[in-house]
This record gives sequence, structure tokens and C-alpha cells, in this order.
Amino acid sequence: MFKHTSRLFLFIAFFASFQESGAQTADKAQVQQYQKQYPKAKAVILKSEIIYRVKFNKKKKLPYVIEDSKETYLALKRGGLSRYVFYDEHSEIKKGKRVGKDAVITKRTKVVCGNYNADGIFYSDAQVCQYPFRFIKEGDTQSLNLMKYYHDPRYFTQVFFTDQLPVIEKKIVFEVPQWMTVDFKAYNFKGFDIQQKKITQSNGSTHYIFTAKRLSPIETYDDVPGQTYTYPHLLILFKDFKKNNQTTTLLGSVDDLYLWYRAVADKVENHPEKLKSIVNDLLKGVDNPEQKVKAIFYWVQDNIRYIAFEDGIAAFKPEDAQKVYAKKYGDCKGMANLMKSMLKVAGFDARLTWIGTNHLVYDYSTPSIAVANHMICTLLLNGKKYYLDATEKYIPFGKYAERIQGRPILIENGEKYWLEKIPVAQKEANQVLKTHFFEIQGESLVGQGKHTYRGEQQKEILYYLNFSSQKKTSELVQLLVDNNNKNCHLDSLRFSNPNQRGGSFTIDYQIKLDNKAASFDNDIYVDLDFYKEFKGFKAEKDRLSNLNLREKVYRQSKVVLQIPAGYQVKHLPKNLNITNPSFSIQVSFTTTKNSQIIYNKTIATTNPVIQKADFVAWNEAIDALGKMYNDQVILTKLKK
Amino acid sequence: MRQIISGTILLMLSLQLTFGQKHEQIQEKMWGISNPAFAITEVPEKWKKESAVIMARHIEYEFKFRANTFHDYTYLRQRIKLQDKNAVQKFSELSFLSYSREKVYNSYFSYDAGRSIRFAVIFSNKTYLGIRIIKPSGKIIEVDPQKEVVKLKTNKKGYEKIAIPNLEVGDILDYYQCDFITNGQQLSEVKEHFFADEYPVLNQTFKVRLHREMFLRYMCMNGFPALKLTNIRGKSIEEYTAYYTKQVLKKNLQWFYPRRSLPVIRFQISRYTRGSQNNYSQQNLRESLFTQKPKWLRFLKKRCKQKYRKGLKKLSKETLVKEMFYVARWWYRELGILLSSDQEPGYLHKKRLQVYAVAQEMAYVLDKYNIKYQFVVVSPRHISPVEQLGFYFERVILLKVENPACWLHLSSGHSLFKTIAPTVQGVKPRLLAPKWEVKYLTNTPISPLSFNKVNSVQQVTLSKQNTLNITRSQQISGAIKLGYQQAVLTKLDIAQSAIKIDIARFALALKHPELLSSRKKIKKERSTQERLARVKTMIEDEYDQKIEKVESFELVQPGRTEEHPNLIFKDAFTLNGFVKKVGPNYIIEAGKLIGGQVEIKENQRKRKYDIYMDYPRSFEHTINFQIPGGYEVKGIDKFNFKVENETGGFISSATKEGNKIIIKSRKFYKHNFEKAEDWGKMVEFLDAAYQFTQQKLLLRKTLD
Repeated sequence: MFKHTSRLFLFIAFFASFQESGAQTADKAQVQQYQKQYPKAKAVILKSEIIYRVKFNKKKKLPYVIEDSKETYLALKRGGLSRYVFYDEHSEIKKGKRVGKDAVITKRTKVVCGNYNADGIFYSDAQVCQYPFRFIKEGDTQSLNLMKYYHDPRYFTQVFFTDQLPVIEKKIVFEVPQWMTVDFKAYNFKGFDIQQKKITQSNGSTHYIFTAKRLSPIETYDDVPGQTYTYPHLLILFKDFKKNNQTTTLLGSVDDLYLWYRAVADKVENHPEKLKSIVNDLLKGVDNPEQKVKAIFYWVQDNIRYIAFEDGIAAFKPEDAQKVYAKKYGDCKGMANLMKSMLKVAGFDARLTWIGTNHLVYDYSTPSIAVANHMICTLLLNGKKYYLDATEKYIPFGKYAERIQGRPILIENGEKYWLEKIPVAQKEANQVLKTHFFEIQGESLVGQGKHTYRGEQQKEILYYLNFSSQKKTSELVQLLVDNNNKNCHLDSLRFSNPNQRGGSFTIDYQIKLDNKAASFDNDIYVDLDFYKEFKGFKAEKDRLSNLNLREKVYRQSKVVLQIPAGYQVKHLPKNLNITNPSFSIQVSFTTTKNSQIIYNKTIATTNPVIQKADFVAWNEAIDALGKMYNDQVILTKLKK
Repeated sequence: MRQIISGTILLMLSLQLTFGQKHEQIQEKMWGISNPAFAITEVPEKWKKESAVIMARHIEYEFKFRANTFHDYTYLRQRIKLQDKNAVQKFSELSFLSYSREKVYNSYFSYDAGRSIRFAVIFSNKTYLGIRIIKPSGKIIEVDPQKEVVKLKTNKKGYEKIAIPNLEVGDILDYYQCDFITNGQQLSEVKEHFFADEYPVLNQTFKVRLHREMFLRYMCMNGFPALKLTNIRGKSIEEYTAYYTKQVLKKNLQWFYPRRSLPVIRFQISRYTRGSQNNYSQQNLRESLFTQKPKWLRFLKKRCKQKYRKGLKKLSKETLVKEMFYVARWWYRELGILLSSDQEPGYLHKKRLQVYAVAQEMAYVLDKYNIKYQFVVVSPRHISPVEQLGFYFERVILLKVENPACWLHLSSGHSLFKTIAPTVQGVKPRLLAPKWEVKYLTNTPISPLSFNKVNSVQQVTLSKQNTLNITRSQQISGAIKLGYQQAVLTKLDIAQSAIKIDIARFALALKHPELLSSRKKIKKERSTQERLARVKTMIEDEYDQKIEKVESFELVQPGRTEEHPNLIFKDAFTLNGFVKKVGPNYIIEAGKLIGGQVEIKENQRKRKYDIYMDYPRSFEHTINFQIPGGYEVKGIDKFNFKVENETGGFISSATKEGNKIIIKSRKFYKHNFEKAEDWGKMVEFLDAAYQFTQQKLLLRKTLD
């Protein structure tokens, strides 16, 4: 019996492979061209056709979406290739089939499906299926035919055109029946070859057809903004549907979105009485309202560990406040809800607040659940609003992390809501200042130094120091100063309290830098800048993504060099003064009457992101900076 | 039908029941461990600054063989005092493989049958967990793992993750984890247990518990206490125990072999077959004494006939042994390199896994042609001390041939006749002879300093773009060669320098047509490009800077034959990080042209542990720097260094010859091992080499 089936199976596979090889062939020249164009890619997506059909589920009385796709891969290298398809509680893979020449070999490796374990998320309901392919030789083609169901259109929010692999041609069709109202919002189409068409069918349904050609693969640089800023994609807004003479709203407007948020948030069962004792403990002897808020805010930052759960409704619904308190861990929603509850127990007016961090390009002009990826708590105090994000572990009250600055927020307010924006801090708030005083001893620079960190850098450093082994604190602080460079020797290292939020984090030390002053005959060549920030920090010219520096940069250095007795300045590097609307670099060397050289450097950016349009200017500035770093001070013996 | 269903339900119920019962038993056993160390809550003053302190640890390995299945149980319980946020973060999330069931094929060598036996094994895994938190007030909170757990699944495996609730700095986390693994092997894998840990462990118990028919072979090394044997239930269970109350912290050091320096036990469990303990350990050894007729013998005959026009019997012994070695290298290693893994026929792959096969087959040929030799077995240096033999798969069989006097060891596809790999140099070989006396020969030879050498000659010019254009020629010999060969040789180079054997006929003969045109299949262009990428990475690692491209590369000699044993290649590239334009002058960081050197920082200057290196070696560099017209050179005298002592040295000099500056340097490590107390002497020359890299030449513009 077994033998028979296997033969039958072989026959079918054989037949199928014949069919395929007839359908898809790529000539050698084409393969070579792709290989040249995409040297790193294992394969290209030769053709991808995806049809989304909107249907109606009578039982659930809800529309659903069927994704029917066929993707053909052309191998540029022989060997394996894996394709991943995601699904979750609201979606399902109905069919996944690998077909094509040599699909028999491909199918020797089975499809593996299971939970998707993403970095930084403890548990999520995201599931993934891995479809392995094996190509015997370059130029072979195989396809993946897929059928996927989205059971609730509200959770079907985005469609991207780009892929991990280069895309040669991609066609996306939405078949929307007359009873359904859908809006498509296109992002980042500019600069890509994407055509769109709208065809009304005789049955009244509308086909929206998008055709994209020659899309580069998604880049793998570390310093990029979120993908929604760069890659062409559609945000799909299912507004409402008419069935049986009745219009049912899905997410037609931000009002609807808020209704949905509230409905989910109302499922939370907070028991504030269980928080009373901790709140009372924290507020004992504290009268000033601001001090009270700080006591609670900092306690949550310090004592609630961040662990993310994204499980079904738990991806949107906050955990009950008393549970977060008891477990001492929670995700952003749990922490926001605990903050709100504790503040309420203390007599304050606090609200849940939905926000999309700067990882997302969207704002509340679009009613989609894709707009928010984070939750914080808004406090109303003395007619002012304060935004409290307890997932940030070392942020002072009234200050905001870069990732939420300027971001639109939706604050709960009973039946209605408020739309606001988080205030944006000046770049100076992120100041990193390094000051040094040096004398020359032999081939070394000897003296004192001080580092001061504020804002984003301070927050990061405090986190890094507090969440590393306590045994290593001093070693890590030292690393901030000596950059693990053997030429740097430190003594009398002192630093401010790493638990102190606000103000600044400072490090003071005695320093000896070896091999930084080189004597040749009567001259001494001095390399004054030990840190050389942003040296070689150029952006790749032809990349798609902007350069994400993650903070508004404000780095300052000041070095005072005592000229040794009997010497005078023979050469100083040229000063630099580069100003651009999005960044600036200023460097100056001056000599003083009391035989000192003063070196001042400021590197600043207006935004955390350098736009692609500024890349040429940025790279030129970095080159000029590099040239300055390469130049040195020359001191020469005074002639007697 | 109904009966079947009810039967299934019953079975399922009983399975659940046994699971529940089992868990209760384990719970009782693990929380009931009677060691008083598990009651201590106070951390000694000395360890208060640590991130965490492990107050007590109990680890127990249990082995059973039942119903043809090997049961391998590990019980771990530990009590951890969490002293900072880092520790809370680290221990607050547990994740583990909770369930797996997989069919794997295994084989074992049966002494009785005299051959390998292959069989299917169901490999399964189950984990039990218990968690308690002890608050500073003394309050004990029992955490129910079933309640907190989240399950992650794939088709075959289940993972569980637990976020431990209500865990704070100052708490003690007390937990046990028991892993039950069953499989059908006859032999457990080699297990290791170090007493050293990232955190101080105040009290450790180590146990191995064996049921009937099981046999333990172990090695306690570097101060691991001797095991105490107790018999339980008559003699049906044997329990071996060791206690340890010293605190050894794990270190990450350069030139450090943890198994040679830290207290460790290495052990392996097998089924007790017959005979005494001694017999068992020799059983595997005896296997290696079999000689096997090699499949490659006919290729050896054919090759010699073609090359020397003689039969094997008429060849000189030296020639015969040499040709045999290279045919074996081709069969076992070169074929493997030439074919990509998915192309490689299964049996060839399997062949390579049989650790002793090469030696056994070479021995067959030696026997046949009356060449005297000895079988010896050694353990690699990094695994165990010279006088202790490692475990089965770790051992290496060498052949010591009397005439021509040489050692035969095929360790890689580039191995040369008469050389042995550095891992088995300077170790004590145990003679394998049909009589089972324990007899050791004198240590295997350690290759001399002059044998392992890098010699590099560079021509350096300053370009108009303020970069350094470098063309260099490198000659590499001895054991250092292997790493370079892996980077600079393409498959085509290997194919061309391999012995010529009619591969087509061979492939057909073995019914593996995919082998047919393997030489043809190697695409020249592609493999050359891949090589350039590897060479680029090699250069970038060497100089710690990115280069745009490798301008040229030429392989002069692959170093794979005895006649031409050195690897020689030439390359050219541009370095942009070593030139500084200062006013009208240039500073050239010429010291850095010898590549990055070991940096010994302040906190690395003292050393407690001995220094284990792979082999004695030397690095010689000659830098010929072309002085550009219109400039004079200053700072030549700064390149003179001379440090030499009994551990090694660094010697350098610089001279001006015509319009060239010639800088020569030589760094050498005299031995493959140094005592910890000699670390200071090594640091002396390592520091000198580093300081050399900091030296600069000044090109001063001359007045026209």
C-alpha cells in the first residue's frame, strides 16, 4: 500500500515539475544581470501576484479577507532559501504549497511552523511558518502558492511592496465588493516604480491594482529609522460595510478608533484598594504634589520590570494594575495602567494615552490600529499635562525620551478624547561635554578630564550602569573614558550617583595618554582629540534609508594644552565651521597669552535623523572633520 | 470501537497520572535535599559586591537503562541571592526545552559483532520545574510554574518560558530544574562539570547515580575532589559524590585552556557489558587495533604504477608510505573539500566520522608491505593532561612508523607527510599493543620555533590621496599555514595541487555520478571572487580598518606538497588610516604596518593560570617604505626594539637605504606553554611589540 502511494506521489510531482519548467524559464544573461545587480541576494522574486478578496462571514457578521498569492523565486545562488509567512490569532494560513522544478528535493525539508520568538518580546501570539526551498542550480525557479485568511479586517492594516529579496515584479490586487468601504493610504511611493489602477467591475465591485517593478531588498543597516519611513507600502483602512440595509462601522474615523480603544481598555478590572498601602508608603511625609508624582513615577520605573506580552487581546488590553503590582513586571500598557491607578489612589487625575513612537511614520490623521505601538500615562497637574512613560527606566519627571518626543498622542477623556503632541526638547538637552587639561610629559599627555552627560545619553548610561553587574560599575565607567584603549591610563576616577535622575551624570579623573605627543628633532607633534567622535561616520551614498542617530546630537569637547616652556606653536589645524539646517560642526584652535592652546569642538544635529537629501552635505562634513582629526598641533623649540 | 476509545482515554489518563505522580516525587526529592547549606541566607561580607551569589548548588546526574532505552536525568537545584538589578533581570526569566520527540538514527560499534550497528532512536525530553522565592523577611513564596508558564511550540519541539513574578533585589531565588532525556544510545555523550562559575558558589554537591548495568568512566582534574562511592539498595545503585566549598570564578583569558586549569570532572556513562572496568576502557582501544582493507588501495596501486612504473612492493619504503599518506588524504579530506556538503555522498561523510578508520586503513597497507609501525593513542592538549586519555571520540590515533622514521597523522585536507597537528604535539602517547599492558612512549615532538613562521615583505608607497599603497609577499610555514590556507586557497587550487587520480572512473565505479565532473564544476570566476572577499576580511582583521578592495592577489605556492611545503602568496591593497597630513608634513604610522598586536591592559598584567598556546611561532616583517621626493624622514631611531627572554622576544630595527626606509621586526614565542609565573616575561615582549605599533615616521617637507 505504501509503495503505491509513494509512486503516485512521485508521478504527480514529476508532472508538476514539467508544467512549471514550461511556465518559467530565465535565460542565462538575465540571471547574470541579477547576480551583478544584487550580489548578496540568494534569489530574486521574479514575479509576485497577490490578490486580496474581501468576503463576508455571515456567522460572525463581519467581513474577512482572503489573501491568494503566488510568488516565483529565481535562484541566483544554488543552495537553500527560506521564506517566512506570519500569522496570529486573527489570521490563518489555509494553504502553503511549494511548486516548481526540483520541488521534490525542496519538499524533503519539511515546513516548520511555530511561535515566533522576537527579540525583546517575552511572548507573543505571532506564529511563523518557514518554507524551505532548495535550488540545485542558479537560474532555477520555484514558487510558493499561499492562501491566507484575515478573520478581522481591523487587524489587517499594512501591505508592503518590498521584501528581504529583490522584487522584479509585484502585482497587488484588492477586490473590494460594493458593500465595503475601504481607503488605501500610500506611503513612500515616490522614487519607486509603482503604478496604480482602479477598475470597476460589472458586478459593482472595484479592483484596485498596484504594480511595482524593480524593488531593491530591505536594507540591513543598524542605523535606520523604522521601515514605515522608507519602504513603499499601503495602509489599509476598512471603514464600514453595508449589509442587509444596515451600515456597520469598523474604523471609519479616529472617533471609532477611540471607541475601540476604550472598549478594550474597559475590560481591565483594576482594584485600586490593593494599591493603597504601597501608595501610602511611598507618600509618607511627602506634601508637594510634584514630589508625590515623582515618588510614584520613580517607584514604578525602579520596581516594575519590563516584559512584553503580545498575546491576542493582551496586545491591546492593559493588564490589571494590581496584577502588575503583584508580579512586579509588565509591558508598557501594564505599566501605564499601574501608573494611572496609583496616581488616582494618590488623588491625581491620570489618563491612559495611546502613542506611536518615532519608529512609526503614522499619526492620528488615519484611523488604524497600526498608528499606536506604545502606551503611556498622562497626568493633569495644575492645568498642565505631563506624560509619564515608566518603561523608560532613568527618565526624570517632566522630561521625555527621544523616541516619543513630538509624537502625536491620543489621551482618554470619557466620551471624547484629546489629541496632543509630546513636547520636543532642544538638542542642547542631550549635551555630552568632555573637557580636558593636558601637559606634555615625554610622548604622553598628562592631566585631568571631566565628562558630563545629559538627556538621552545620560538615560542610556544610567540604564547600562544599573543593569550591569554591580561589581563592574567602576570598570564600565572607566570604559566610557578610556574606550578600551591601551594608551589611556586613568587615576582617581570619580563619578556621580548612577541612580540620580535629572541633572547630569559626571565623571572626573586624572588621565595619562601615551603615544599622543611625538618628538622629531626640535618639534613635537600633538594629537589633541582622543575621542574623535563621528570619525568616518559617513552614510552609504546609494542606500534607501535615512541615517538614524537615535537622538538629537549635541557633543562638545574642550581641550586646554599647556605649551611646555621653551616651545612655541608652529602649526595649528584649520578651524572648521560647517552649518547646515540639519547639522553643524564647529572646531576652533586658539592660543592664549598664558601659553595655552584651546581646542573647542561642537557637533550637533537638529533632528535624530539625517535625511537622505542631506547625505552629500553630511558626508562632506564628515570628510572635513576627518581631515581635521588627521591634522595635529606642531610645537617647536624656541631658538635661543 | 468503543473499547478502543475507552482504551485510549484510559491510557491518556494513566499517562497524565504518572506525570502528576512523577512531578510530586520530584518535588519531594528536590525540596527535600538535606544539605544544610540550602538553609543559609546570609552572604559573607567578601561577596556582598557580587551581582549574585549562589548559596548552594546541587547537581545530580542519574542514568538508567531500561527497555532498551537509555534514560539520562539531570537534577539541578540552586539557591541564588540576587544582589542587583542585573541579577534580577538575568534570573527572572527562565526558558527551556520542555518537550521534544524526535527520531534519529544512531550507530554504535559492537565489539561482539565486530562492526557498527545502526538503529533508530526515539529521542525525547521532558522538564520539571519548581520555584521558590525567599524574601529578606524570611517569607517563602511558592511560585506555581504551571500558572506562570507560556508555551512556545513548533512542529517537533515545545519550549516553555517563565517570567518569575514578584522578584526583587535582595531576594533569594530557590529553584530546581530536572531534565529527563531518553534515547537509545549505549553511551552517554561526554559530560563536563566545572565548579567554576560566573558567580561565587558557596557550597556545591555533585552526584552521579547509576542503576544496574551502567558503568561510569571519569576524570577529575585540576583539584576537582575525588568522588566518594556509596552503594544503595544492595549493589543495584551506585552513587558517586563530591562536595566543593571553594569559590572559583570563571575567567575569559587569552591562551587559556579551561579544562587544563579549572577544577573539572569529565565523565561518560555506558552500558556495563562484560568484564571488569579495565576491560571497558580498553574495549574501544581494541577496536582501533583492527586493520581494515582500504577502498583507496587500488588508487594507490594505480597511481604508483603510473608515476613510478613500479608495483608497490618494489617501491622504497619511504616512497610507499608517502604515497599512501597522500592517497589517504585525497580520499578522506580533499574529496570532502572539493564537493559541497549536499553533494558529498553519504557514505564518504560517514567514513570520515569513524575516527579511527584512517589509521586502521593505513595500518593495513603498512602490514601488507612489511613496514614496521606502532599504534599509539593520544588526547589533544586542550582536553586533558598528558597522562590521561580522553574519551572515545576525543582521542586521536597516530601511527609511529619505524622506517622511514615518522609519525602519520591526517588532521586536515592540507596535512603534510611526517607532520602532526599542534593539538597532539608534546603529549604522551599510549602504546596500543595486543597485550594490554599500559605502556607510554616518549612525548610526541613539538614543532620547533623555526617551523611555524610568517614572513612578510611589504613595499609601501605614499599615494597622492594620502593613503599607503602596499604590495606584499607572504611566506607561511608550519602550523600557522592552515588558517591562511583556508582563506587564500580556492577549491580549484586544492584540486590542482591534489594528487591526480582519474576521478571520473572512480565516481562511476562507486555509482555516484555527481562526483563525475566536480573538477569541471568548480567555477573559476566565482571561487576567485569568494577568495578575494576572504582575503579582504583577512587584511581588514589584520590592520583593524576597512579597505576598499584587494587590488591584486597572486597565489605563488599553495604549500600542500612536501617538495613545496610553504604557502606563498602576494597581495596588494591600500590602507587609508595610517597617514596624517600635518601642515605641509606627513606622519606615517609605520609601526602599525606589522598588523595589530596583543594589547595587555592594566587589569591583565597579573595572571594566575598557566599559558597554553597552540605552538611555538615567529612573525617576521620587512617594510620597505619609499620616501617620496621632496621630503626627508625623521624618527627612524624610534623603531629599534630589543626584548628577548626565555619565553620569546620582539626585535626590530630601521635603516635608511637610498630613498627607502627599511624596517624589520621579528616577534617570536619560544614554546607552546608557559608557567603562569612567567607571564610577566611574555608581557615584556608583547608590550614592546605593541609599543612598536605606536611608532611613527615623520616626512618633513624639505626646502626647495
